[in-house]
Amino acid sequence: MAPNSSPFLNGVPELLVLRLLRDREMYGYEIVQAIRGASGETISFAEGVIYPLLHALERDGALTTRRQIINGRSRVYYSVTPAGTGRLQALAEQWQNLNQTIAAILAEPRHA
Amino acid sequence: MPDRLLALREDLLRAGLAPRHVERYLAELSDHRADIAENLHAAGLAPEAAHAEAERRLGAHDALLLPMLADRRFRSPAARWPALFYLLLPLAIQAAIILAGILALLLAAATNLRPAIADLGDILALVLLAAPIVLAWLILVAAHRRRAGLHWPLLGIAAGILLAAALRLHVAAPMPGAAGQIGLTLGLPAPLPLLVLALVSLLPLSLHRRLE
Repeated sequence: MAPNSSPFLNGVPELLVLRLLRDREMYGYEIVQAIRGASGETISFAEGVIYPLLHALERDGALTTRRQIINGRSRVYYSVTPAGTGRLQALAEQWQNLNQTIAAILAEPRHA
Repeated sequence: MPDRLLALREDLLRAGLAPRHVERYLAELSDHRADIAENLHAAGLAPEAAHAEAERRLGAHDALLLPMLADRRFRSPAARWPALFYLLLPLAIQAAIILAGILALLLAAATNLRPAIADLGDILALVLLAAPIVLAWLILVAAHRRRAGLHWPLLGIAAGILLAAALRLHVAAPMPGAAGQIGLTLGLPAPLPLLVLALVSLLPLSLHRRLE
């Protein structure tokens, strides 16, 4: 599934979530803690907004879920589907291209 | 569930989100907040401070509301097509009940139930009167669950009641030398059945308003 054109930060939360879930399945709280930990608390956001993103990715077929009762709570574990892996690769390429472009501009801006 | 998430539930439902999405979202938010508070408490924060910090980290009301509203795929079919959900679908179900009832009577007439066909006709007439009431209650429950406006639900209920009050079922048992008859016609709705059907159908509405 091809991701939408993602100018600048659009698509970054999606990229992070797909990348983290590629390694192992996680539930929402774990995903947020993983983002906080991996970014050294650089990336912070209202933690509840992870769920609309997860639900949208699930709807798109990029994620799949399973429920498990732990300590009386029904945890929803998310994992990446093959379509999600393809989407992750496309988003990662897009991000790397953008990153290289910005790095080049910062190093030596070319004026028209 | 604390009031903040209750208020969020009301806003999400009123915006037309499907109840199952809303309940899942709120359950995940509630567990997430509990996880934050538990971990902060385990790390040494006082329970009140841990809960306050968990509320802050979860996000403000609008931050939690707007992303769900932005994705139109989370809207319920009832919010997208209210006329279909509250008016046409119940009418179609009522029509299916009528057809199934008549077919059942015709089948019964071909079996050893034939002598009791007039009694079966009376039972079917009662079922046809009860069907719009049950459908009306289901419509009201569905509308309340979705915090929907009452415009389309009331139209759907009115249409069902009118159809039921306008139906005339004639079942004549076979007599010696004369065949039996099963007939269904539409006529002007009789005022008394119309009134009784309307009052019973709208009863949950009045009870709900009293409870509020």
